[in-house]
Formats: sequence, C-alpha cells, structure tokens
Amino acid sequence: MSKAKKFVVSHAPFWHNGDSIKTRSYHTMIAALPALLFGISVYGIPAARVIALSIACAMLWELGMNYIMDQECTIDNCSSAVIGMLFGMLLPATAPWWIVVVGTFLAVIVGREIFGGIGGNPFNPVLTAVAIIMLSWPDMYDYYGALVNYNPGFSMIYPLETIKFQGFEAVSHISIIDMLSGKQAGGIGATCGIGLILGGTYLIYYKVIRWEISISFIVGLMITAHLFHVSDPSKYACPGFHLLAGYSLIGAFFLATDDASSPVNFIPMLIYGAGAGFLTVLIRNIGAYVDGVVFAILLMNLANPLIDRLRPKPLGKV
Amino acid sequence: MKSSLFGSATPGFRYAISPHKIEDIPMPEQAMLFVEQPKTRDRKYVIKIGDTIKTGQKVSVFDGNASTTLSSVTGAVTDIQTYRGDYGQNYTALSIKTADDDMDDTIAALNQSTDLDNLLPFSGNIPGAPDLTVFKRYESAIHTVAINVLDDDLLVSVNQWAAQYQASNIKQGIDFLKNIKGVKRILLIAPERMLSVVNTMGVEVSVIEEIYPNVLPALLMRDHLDTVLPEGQAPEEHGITFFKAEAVASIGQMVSTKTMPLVKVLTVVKRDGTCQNACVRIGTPLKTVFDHLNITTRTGDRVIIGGPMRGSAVYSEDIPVLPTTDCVVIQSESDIPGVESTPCINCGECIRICPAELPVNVLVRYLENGLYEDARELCDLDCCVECGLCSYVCPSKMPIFQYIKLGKYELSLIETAEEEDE
Repeated sequence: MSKAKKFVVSHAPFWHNGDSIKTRSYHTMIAALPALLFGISVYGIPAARVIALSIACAMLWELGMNYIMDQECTIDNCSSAVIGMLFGMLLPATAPWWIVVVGTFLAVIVGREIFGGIGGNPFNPVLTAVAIIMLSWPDMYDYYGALVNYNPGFSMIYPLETIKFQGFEAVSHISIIDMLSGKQAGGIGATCGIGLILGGTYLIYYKVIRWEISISFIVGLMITAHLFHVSDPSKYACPGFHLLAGYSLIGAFFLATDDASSPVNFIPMLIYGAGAGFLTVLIRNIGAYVDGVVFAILLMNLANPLIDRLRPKPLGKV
Repeated sequence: MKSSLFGSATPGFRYAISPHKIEDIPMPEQAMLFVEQPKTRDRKYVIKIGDTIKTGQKVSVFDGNASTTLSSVTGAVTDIQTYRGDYGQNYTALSIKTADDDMDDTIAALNQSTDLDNLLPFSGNIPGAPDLTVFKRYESAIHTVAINVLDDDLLVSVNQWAAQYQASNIKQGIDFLKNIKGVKRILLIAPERMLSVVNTMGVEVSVIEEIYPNVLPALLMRDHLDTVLPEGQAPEEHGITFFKAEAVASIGQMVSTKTMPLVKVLTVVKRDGTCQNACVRIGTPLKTVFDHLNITTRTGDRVIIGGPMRGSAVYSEDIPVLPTTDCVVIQSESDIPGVESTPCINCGECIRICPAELPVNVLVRYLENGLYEDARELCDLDCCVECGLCSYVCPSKMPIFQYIKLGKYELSLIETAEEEDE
C-alpha cells in the first residue's frame, strides 16, 4: 500500500456546525454591551475602570491557574472574560480596585477552577463571588453609600432598598419608563432595562441562552410579585417594578442562564427559571436581603442536578 | 458547512438529490478484494500469491469457513496484505491483476434455479450487500421487509439512483422477496418527490420526510412501522428487516438475468462539496476512481468511506470499492474540523438535537471516564441510534460520537469475555 501520502484519520462525524465556546463568549459579551455602555455613559471613567480591571483580572486568574496546574492555556475561549465582564457589571462604579481583584479571584478560581474549570462549576461563578462579597463586605453593594457623589441628572434612588425600608409608596413617583431607561441607582451594567432586554433577545436569537429559563424566570418573578402586590399594595411593589429593579433582568438573561449550572431539559428549565424568579421576590419581600436574585439563583443552581433528572424517556427504552 | 459568528441559518440536513449524470469507470488493471479476518490467532493462509481467481468464485483466505468472499474480478493474486480497520477489525487485502472476465460455476448455477438457497452465497457480495441470510437465521420469522429508497447518510444518492434507473430490477427483486416463506409485507420507504417512480412498483409505499437522520432503522421503525425498537435489539428480532433499494435491484438483476451484478454506483464527493455518481466495478481501488474523476489527493487530506456524518476515514487510497461502499468523500486539510480536549460545558445543544432523546450531557461524562456499564445502566447508552448529530453541534468539539461507539464496543468486549467464561 502506498506510504507516500498521509491522510488524516478521525472518527465520524466529519462535519461540525462551527459553534464554539469562543463564539458563545463573544455573543454574550456583544449582548452585554448596550447595558454596559449605558452604565459607562452614566458613571463615566470610574465605571470603565472597574469593567476593564475586572475582565483583565478574571483572565489573568485563569491564566495563572492554567500555569499552576500545568494545563494548556484556556483563556482564549474568553469564558473568563465573560465572567469578569458580568462581575464588573454587578458592581457599583465606585468599587475599589481590591474588591475587583478579590472578586474575580472568587469567581474564577473559587467559583469555577477548583471544580474542574469550564463546565464543572455547580454554581454560577459570578454569583458565587457576589454572594461571598455580600456576606463578607456588605457595604460593597450598598448603592446609596457607593454612589452618593454622583449626580447624573436623575434621582439616584436604589429602588429595592427604599421599598424594603419605606414601602412601595416611597418610590411611587419613579415611573416604569424611567426604570426601563436606566434612571435608577445600581450596578454598572444592571440598571438599563432596555439594554438588557435587547441583549437577552440577541442571545436568545443566537441560541446562546435558552428562552425557557429567561422567560420562566420573568414569569415566575412577576406572578409572585403580583400576588404580594395584591395582598398589600402600599408595602409590596408591583410586578413591573420588581422586574426592572435590582439584578432581575441581568439575572434572567445573563446569570440564571449560565450553561454549567442550569438544566438542559425542557421541563427542568421551566422549573428552574420559575423557581429562581419566585425565590427572588420571596427574598426581596420577606427575606433579610435587599436583592434576592443572587441567592435565588444560587439556590436553584443547588437544585439543578436534582430537577434535571426529569428527562424524557429515550427511544427504545421499555 | 460551518455557521459564521453572525449567521443564524443552520446548515441543511436534507438528504441529497441524485444527480442524473453518471460517470462510467472502466475495469481497473489492478483490483483488490477485502476479506474480514477472524479474531482467532490460530489460522493458516490457504491462498497464496500467484493463485488465479475467477469472477464469482468463492475465495477463502484461511482454512475453515470464516473469511470468504466472492470475487468480483478475474485474475492472478499479486499481493496479500493486512489492512487494519476500525475497532480492531482486520482485513486481508488481496491485490489482483485483472484479466478478461471468466465466470465461475457458482454463477452458472443460477441458470438452473434462482431460489433463496442459490442466492445465499451472493449475500453481502453484490452491490448494496443484501443480507439474505436473515431469512435462514430467523427461520421464516421475518414478516416485514422494508426497502429504503433514501441513503443512510447525507450527500449519498446511490439508492435513489437505483430507484430511478433500475426500477425494473427493483420490481423483480420485490417479487423475489415476496415469495420468501414468511414474508407478508413489503414496504417501500421513499421521499415524496420520488413517488411517481416508486408507485409503479406495485407495493405499499410510505412517505419519508427527507430530514437527517430519519433513515436510521430505529427511527424508520418508529415512523413507518409503528414499532419501538427496544434498546440493544436488532430489528430482525421483531420480524423486520431492512434492505437498501440498490440491494433489491441487485437481487432483481440476479433473478432476471441470471448473472452476478458486478458494477456498483458510488457517490464521490469532491473537495468543493460537489457530488458525482460513478459506475464502478466492485474491487476497484479508490485511487483509480479518483484518477478517472481528475481528483488528486494530498497529504493532510481526509478520505472518508461512507457519508460525512457516519462514515469512516481511511488511511490509504488503495483500498477498494466494496459492495457496501456507497460514498467516498474527500476533505481538504483546511476543511477538517478538529476535536478538542475541552470538557462538556453543559450547554444542552446535544440534548435538543438527539433524535433518541438521550441524556447526552451526562452520558458523555460517564464515557469520558470509562464508566461504560454506568453509561448503559443510567444513561441508556444502548438507545443511541448513532447519527452523530451530538458531535456535529458540540461547541466544545468533543468527540461524543466516538465516545459512544467506543463505549458500545468496550461493552461488547466485556460481554464476549463473560460468555467465554461461562
């Protein structure tokens, strides 16, 4: 037999649809841009500084971990860049540099790498970091304190905190339209409702995230919020308010949909999303924390392996 | 067949439409026969270099009954080599310097009678490789014969060609199958656009949607025969057997002309993705086919026997066209998508595309770690219909299909070892 030519031999299939982790990461970052650019336009250079440092640190942590573990370099799939970007978007624009460094360490190394790297994390890495920081340095996410020196031309109100302590009537002068266009205090990239909805639609269109999770999250959140609102309209906010305040939208489109920690089957996705939405409102309205999204999604991450066992019977199984 | 960053269109998964043009490739000077080697080590070659072989002659490579084939050419054996195939299967490759056809007595026997017993030796050795032995092995328990007019992989159009241009042979073949003891139902499975051809064949027709992988046996049984094939079982255990249209045409030709069909239709997919059908003598080396179609292969290319989704890549272009070879695909080095060592990111693309609804994301975790028995018990490995779509969509570029096949192969080895122990 001819030895001159050496052909490439590999297993079927011989085609691939060209999808890659890198493509998915790029899509996520593109989708996050509208909300992020809005945040930077409101808070200026300090916000850009937080985001840039966050992305850079997240990638460096992964690179460092690759180096220590003597593994091939994996930062080119940009999944850490996404983690860094989302982590930065949740922070207030005045966050000190060290919290970004520590936070990205918690997200990339503690949240993901120690579980075996990409795909192995049982919890959303970004939310793991946010939760640890919320518990360890509670002032970091106090938006009133953080943003006290800002005067962007609209009332700097962090709606969830005001509702929590003063009731719904204290914020009834803020219109839904204002909140949709980002006229509220909050994380750098978490306030612009319209930008996040645009980004989420983009991600659903490109099939990077699953509509089942996002929609069921929103529906679960709104139904629960509605029930509370009906029971005591002066104390509990209306559903639209809950949807646009805090981390709800960024949670629905960017955080709850994290691949590794969310289910893949249809019904489990619905349960997961609705459960996270339900818990969010529960924590906000009767829990100890101002915003429930972080812990709600982490709790549903915990339940994910269990609920994802609800799967269809395969062909030929009797 | 790649989607771009901003493309939203998913690549087509429709089966190929047969081109009308067909290229005749003449008898090669040097042909090759492939014979499966038995797994046992104690064996003796009974064939040697210099032996002459007649067309239609039963060729035994080793002593004993295993490892035989019917020659498709006449000539002298010039070389004997071993070809290593997939999953530890070895083949003996007999190079033959061809001469004018000299028909063996086995073909002459067809003149006396063309009943099932006379056709049995030709099983697997005529174009389309019909397995007539199922009717003997299952002792008349086969009640339904399903004839597939579509091909079992993308880009391939051999069976469609047979249905279009060998309709009379197929009719004869159907008549033959009808008369086999026990057979009650013959079902033609054809796409809608071919109804005008297949309706003339006078048997029940079921229309198939031309979307990959509808042609795989388990899915055909579900969609057209209302039977669910239980995991790990063969359709024959349920009295159903599948034939390709080309195989039925071969049977028909044998019955009507009393000769052995020696020429096979082969789809050749060139580098640019264009398909061409060629008429090839069985045993022609791929290199001869390429030369006639002005295809030059280079180092770094991939040569695939079978289609792009389920075929198998080969390391030599000297291997011949076999009765089962429907398609050859040439892929340039730049078009070969590699596999990567990235782990599963649990995105769920495989879950959504799997036609058998397997929990692929969990399954692949077991398989990666060699837990084959757990994969079968907990993740229904045996339900896989082997379409390859999971690997096709995987953003981590994991070789999922390879893991699945490896898992099934390893389990079969464990089973054989257990049987031998008993």
